[in-house]
Amino acid sequence: MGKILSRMKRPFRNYNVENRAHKIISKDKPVPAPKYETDRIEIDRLMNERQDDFLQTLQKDEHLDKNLKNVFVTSTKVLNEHKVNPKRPLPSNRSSYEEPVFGIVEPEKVGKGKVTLINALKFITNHHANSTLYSAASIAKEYSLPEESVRKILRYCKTFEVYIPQNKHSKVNFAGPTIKRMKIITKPLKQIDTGEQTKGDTKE
Amino acid sequence: MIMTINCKFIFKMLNKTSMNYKYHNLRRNIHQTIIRKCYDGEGKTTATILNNEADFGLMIDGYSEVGFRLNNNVTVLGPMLIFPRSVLSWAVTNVSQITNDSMCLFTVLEPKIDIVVIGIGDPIQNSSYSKNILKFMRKHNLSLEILPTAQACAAYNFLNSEGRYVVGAMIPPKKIEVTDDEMLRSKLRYQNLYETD
Repeated sequence: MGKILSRMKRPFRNYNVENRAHKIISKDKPVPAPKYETDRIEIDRLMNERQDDFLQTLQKDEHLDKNLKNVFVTSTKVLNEHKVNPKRPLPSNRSSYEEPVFGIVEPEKVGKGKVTLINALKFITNHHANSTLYSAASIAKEYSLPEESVRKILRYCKTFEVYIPQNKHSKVNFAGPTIKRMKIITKPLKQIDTGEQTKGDTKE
Repeated sequence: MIMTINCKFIFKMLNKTSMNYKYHNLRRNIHQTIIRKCYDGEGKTTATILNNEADFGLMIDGYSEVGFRLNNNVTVLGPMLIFPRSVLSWAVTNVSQITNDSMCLFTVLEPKIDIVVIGIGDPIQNSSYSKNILKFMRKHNLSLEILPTAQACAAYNFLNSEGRYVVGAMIPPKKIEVTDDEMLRSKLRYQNLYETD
């Protein structure tokens, strides 16, 4: 019966409960809860019998407070060191897990015919910057890869270069595949003594 | 002007508790399942946009006929190979050029790639193009997911957020349908709104 009654009462009890709770919480100084009947009787008794002493206990005693500030607790007992089995030492590294730069943990040793992503990116970038110095053959030798696959990788994978639109200012950075460009190097040719000077451009 | 369709921002609905849970544990134990609760009510459910979190690595924000917009504010032109934190240009133009030669990079990488997501551009009904790719991947024991680019972008983003070593090989689609809202957004992104052309 009680269960049914309490179920019926609950909506009334909980009516507007959140608003009421917020109203109480938002007060700057909380209203102290009412005392228990026994406590109240005891306080009344003390007030009647020894009013001065009781009121004094409620006040903050500056002298005692000062004394308390001078008290320091220092421990002299040395704690027993945790016994560690030297055969099975506990882990001592407490540093947190660090994200690898390229998202994957790079292996320390790489087998023949394999390459890490960092190195792959490095040689692809180098090759497209300077294809004569970093040719497929030299890359294959350096990273012990089959030359055939290096050639395929270099043919199909390219780095990006940033494009800036000429006529319009755009907030966005565009990046397109690097294009091989002709480099024009001016270099003086052998001079003929007769006086006529010739200069030529050589293309690389 | 380059129009970019907004690749659906990937929302992951997570409870506040399970979000923390994910943040701390998921990176290492990717096989653990997340216990998802129902909708808790207003103000109690939070959503994380994966693309806005720097911790999750490089992700694709959008795609268009010319390329892809990444979450590091760079619009990449042409097909690309996207790795968890790096991106390379891929010199292929269509599905028929996804050959053993153009996929050679996947086979030489150490550690081994967890999964390769290939975005083939527009959806193709006839699946004969995938035979060669499947054969190649099986030979080198690599996991593969072949999808139209629109879906492949989302799949790549999710797999990357889970901390897997995923490689996205994406070809931009030839046809995209753009809504007015997306048009407006790309205009806002790439040019002055009141400029004529």
